[in-house]
Amino acid sequence: MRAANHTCYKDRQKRHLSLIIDIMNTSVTNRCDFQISNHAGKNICLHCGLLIQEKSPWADNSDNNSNKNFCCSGCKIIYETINRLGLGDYYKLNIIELTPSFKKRLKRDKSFAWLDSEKFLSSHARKISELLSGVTLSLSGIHCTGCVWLLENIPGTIDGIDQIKVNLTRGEIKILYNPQRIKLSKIGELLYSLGYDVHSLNETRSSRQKLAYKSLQLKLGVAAFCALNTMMLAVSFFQAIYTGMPDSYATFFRWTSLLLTLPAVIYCAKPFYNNSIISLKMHKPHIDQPISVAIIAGFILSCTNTLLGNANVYYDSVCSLIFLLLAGRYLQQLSLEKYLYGFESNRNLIPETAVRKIDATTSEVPTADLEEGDIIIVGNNQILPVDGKVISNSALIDNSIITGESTPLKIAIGCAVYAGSLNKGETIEILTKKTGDATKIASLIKESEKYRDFKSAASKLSEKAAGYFVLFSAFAALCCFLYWLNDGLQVALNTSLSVLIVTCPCALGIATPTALALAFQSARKYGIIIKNPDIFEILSKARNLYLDKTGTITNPYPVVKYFRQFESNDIKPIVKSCIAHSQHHPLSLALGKWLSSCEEFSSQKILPALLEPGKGLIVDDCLYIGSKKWFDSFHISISKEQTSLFNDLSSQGLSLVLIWNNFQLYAVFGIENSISHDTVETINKLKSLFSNLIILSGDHHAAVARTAELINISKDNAFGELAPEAKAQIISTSEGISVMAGDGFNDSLALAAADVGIGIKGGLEAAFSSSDVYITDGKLSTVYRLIQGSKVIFKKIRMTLLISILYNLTGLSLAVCGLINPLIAALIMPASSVTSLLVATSGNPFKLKNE
Amino acid sequence: MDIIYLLLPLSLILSCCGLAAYLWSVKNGQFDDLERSKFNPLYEDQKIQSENKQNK
Repeated sequence: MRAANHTCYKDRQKRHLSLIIDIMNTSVTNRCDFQISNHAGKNICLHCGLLIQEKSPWADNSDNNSNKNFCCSGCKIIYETINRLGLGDYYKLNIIELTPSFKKRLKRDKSFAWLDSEKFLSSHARKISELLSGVTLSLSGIHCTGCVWLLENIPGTIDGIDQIKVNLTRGEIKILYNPQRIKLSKIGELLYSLGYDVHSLNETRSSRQKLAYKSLQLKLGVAAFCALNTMMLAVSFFQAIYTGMPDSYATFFRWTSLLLTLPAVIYCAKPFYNNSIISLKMHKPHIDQPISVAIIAGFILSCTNTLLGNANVYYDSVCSLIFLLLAGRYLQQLSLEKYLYGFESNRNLIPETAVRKIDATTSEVPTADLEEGDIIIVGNNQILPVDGKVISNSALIDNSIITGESTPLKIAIGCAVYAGSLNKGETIEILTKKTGDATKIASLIKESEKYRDFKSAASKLSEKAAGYFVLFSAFAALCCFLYWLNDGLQVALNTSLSVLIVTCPCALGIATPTALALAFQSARKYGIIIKNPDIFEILSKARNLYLDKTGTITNPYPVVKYFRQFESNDIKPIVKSCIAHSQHHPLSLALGKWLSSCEEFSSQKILPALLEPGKGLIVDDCLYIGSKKWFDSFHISISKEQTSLFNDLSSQGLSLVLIWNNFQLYAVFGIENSISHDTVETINKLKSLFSNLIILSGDHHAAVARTAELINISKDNAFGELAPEAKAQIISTSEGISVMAGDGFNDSLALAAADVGIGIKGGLEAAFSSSDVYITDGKLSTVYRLIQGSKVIFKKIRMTLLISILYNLTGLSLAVCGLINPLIAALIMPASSVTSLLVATSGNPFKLKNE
Repeated sequence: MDIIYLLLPLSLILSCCGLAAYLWSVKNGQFDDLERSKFNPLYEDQKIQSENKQNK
C-alpha cells in the first residue's frame, strides 16, 4: 500500500510541475481551461489527481466532455457535493499542491456528535453574542490551494455559518457560526463530506505562545521605526563633525532623537528587561543582562548630554541595537513557528465517539461523556476508547501503541484492556474502568511531558559563554569607571560606556540565533524537523546511541520478492502450516501475505509441523520448509541453473526459503531481508560517531538477537522484551550523553529520558511531542545526516564565538585605554556582528561530504 | 533652514501613519498565517467572477 501511494504521489508531483510550467506559458485568462485540455487521454481522478486504473466504475459519462473520471466513490461524492454548494470553481484552483497527503479512506458515517457535547463547547467554544459563537479546531485534509478557497467560501452557501478562516501554518480552522441556526456537529459533517477532518485542538499549543509571537511582531515594527528615524538624524550629526551645525538645530535634533528613542527603550526592549530580571532573581547570568544595561546606560547618558547641551549622544546606537536584537529573536521565532506547526497534526489516539450499551439499547455517545461502569461495544478494527475489563468474550487486541508489540494478544474474559489499543478480533463488550485523562495512554503522554523539563540541564553553549561574558564586561566597566574617575566624571562615564558597548555580546545575541534558524531551514529540506535548538551541541558530543528495533532498524513488513516452483506439487498447505506454527517469525509474515494474495487458500488443512529453531519446519514428517543452509545439509542434487539462481537472489540481499522433501526441491521463495542494505551501511557509519550503539526493543529476545547479529552489535548491547518504562530507565541510568532514536508511541518515555530524542516516522505523531527531533522520511541515514550536520553547526557556532571574543578583546583593550569614544564603539559593534553573521550563515550544514 | 522645524515633525508624523497602519494590520491578524496569505492572489479571479455573477 505504501509503495502504491508513493508512485501516485510521484505522478502527482510530475503533473503539478507540468501544470505550473503551463501556467507560466499561458495567459491568465486561459488558465482555467488548461487543466482539462492538458490531460486529455490520461486517466486522472478529477478530484484528487491520482491515476485511475483502466476500468473505473465511477466515471461520469453523462457529459460529452467526459474527463470527469474519479478514482473512487469518495472523490465522486465530494465532487457532487462541491458542485451542489455552487463552489465548482474549486476545480480551477486546486492546481498547487501544498502537502503530499496520501489519500485516506474516510469512513462512511463518522459521527461528530462530540462537537455538540456540553463539555466540549464549554471548554473550546467561545460565545461572542447570542447569535454568534466561535470555535477553533484542528484541521486535516488540506492538500491544495483550492481547499483553502473552498473552505473559506462555504459560509456563503450554508445558512448559519458566518465565517470560516483557515490557518495553514498551524493547520487550524476557525469557525464563526450561529448556534441557533446550525449545530456544530452538522458543520463537522459537512466538512467531512468534502474530505476534511476536524479534531479538537491539542492543548500544548497554548494561546500564550501565539500572543508572544504577535507582541514580538508589534515591537519589531516600532523598533524599526525608531531605529530608522534616529539613524537618519544621526547622519546629520556625523556630517556636523566636519561642517559644524548651529546649536539651535543640534538641540532640536537631539531632543527629537530622544523622543524617538523613548518608545524603543520603554516598549520594545521589554523582553530584554524581563529576561534580565527573571534571571537575576534566579541568580544566574543571562545574555540579556548586559544588553539591558547597555541600553539603559546609553539612553541615560544621551539624555544627560542632551539636557546639558553636549554633543555626545548615542540614540541611534541604542535604537539600532534594540532593533537588530529583536530582529534576530523574531527570525528565530518565525522558523520555530513554521516547523512546530508544519505538518498534519493531531490525529487523536482515542476515538471521539463510542457505542454505549444501556440495558438492551445501544447509542453512540461522545467519548468525553463516558463514565466508569459504562458498558461499551467495540467492533472489529476499532480503537478502544477507555481502559476497562472485557466482559463478553475473549478478545484479540493489538497493543502496539502501548507496548510496541504488533502481534495481537488474546485477552481472556475479565482481563484488562487499554484505551488506544486496536480490536483485531470479533466485537467485544467492555466494562469501563478508567476514562479520559486517567487512562494508561493519557498518563504515558503526561509522563513523557514530565521528563522534558529535566532536559534543560544540558545548557546552551552561548548562554554559558554569555554568563561569563556578562560578569566580565560588568567588572571591566566598573574598573574602567573607577580608574578614569580621576580625570573627571564625564571622561569616566564615556570610557565605561564605551567598554559596555564594545563588549556587548551581540554576536551571541544575533549570530547564533540566526545560524540556528538557518540550520532549522536547512534541516527541514532534508526532512528533519528540529524542535529544540540545544540539540546541536548535545548531538555533537553524544556518546551513546540507543536504537529502537522495529521500524527504526528493521523494515517492519518483509515481503516475498521472488517465487519459483520447480515441481508441480501443491506447496500451499505446506506454507500455510509453516505460518500457523511460527507466527512470530518475520519471514512467516511475508509468506502469509504472499499466501493471502493467492486464491482459495483458506480451504487448505493445516498439517502438523515441528519447528527446528534456526533451520525451519518439518511438515507432516517428510516435507521441509526452511533456510538454504539446512537444505544444503540434505545433500540433494540441484542443477547449475538453480545454484546460480540462488546465488543471484542472495546477492540481491533476499533471504531464501526453500521447500523440499527428502529427494527433490519443490520451490524457492526470495524474501526481502528485513534489514535493508542502507541500514547496515548507516549503522556502520553511526558506529564511528558513537562509543556505544545499543538496541532497545519490546520485541522477543530471539528477534532482537537476530537483528543484533545482522548488524554486528554484541549481544550485551541488545535488549528485548522491554516495557516503555524499562527503556526509559536504561537510558536515564546510562553514563555519558545519550541519544535515542525510535518511533511509535511506546518509545515516547525513552525519547524524553534521553538527552536528545529523535523521533523517526513510522509511528504515531505522539512520539513527536516527546522528541526533540522528528525525521519525516523514516530513514536511519537521515539520522546520520543529522548528527554530522550537528557537528558542523556546533563548529560554526564556536567559530562565531571566537570571532566575537577576538573583536571584544581588541575593542575592550582600546576602550579601557580611553582610545575610543562611545560613538566609535557603536560602530565597531555592528562590524563584529556582521562578520560573525556572515560566518554563521555560510554553507549548508546538512549536506554530506560526498553529495 | 528654519523650515526644518516644520519639515522634520511633518515627515515623522507621516511615517507614524505608516507605523500605525502596520500595527493595525498585525493586531488584525494579517501576519498570523504567512502561508495562507501567499495564495490570496489566486482567489482574486474567482472573487471577481462571483461578484459579477451576483451583480448580474
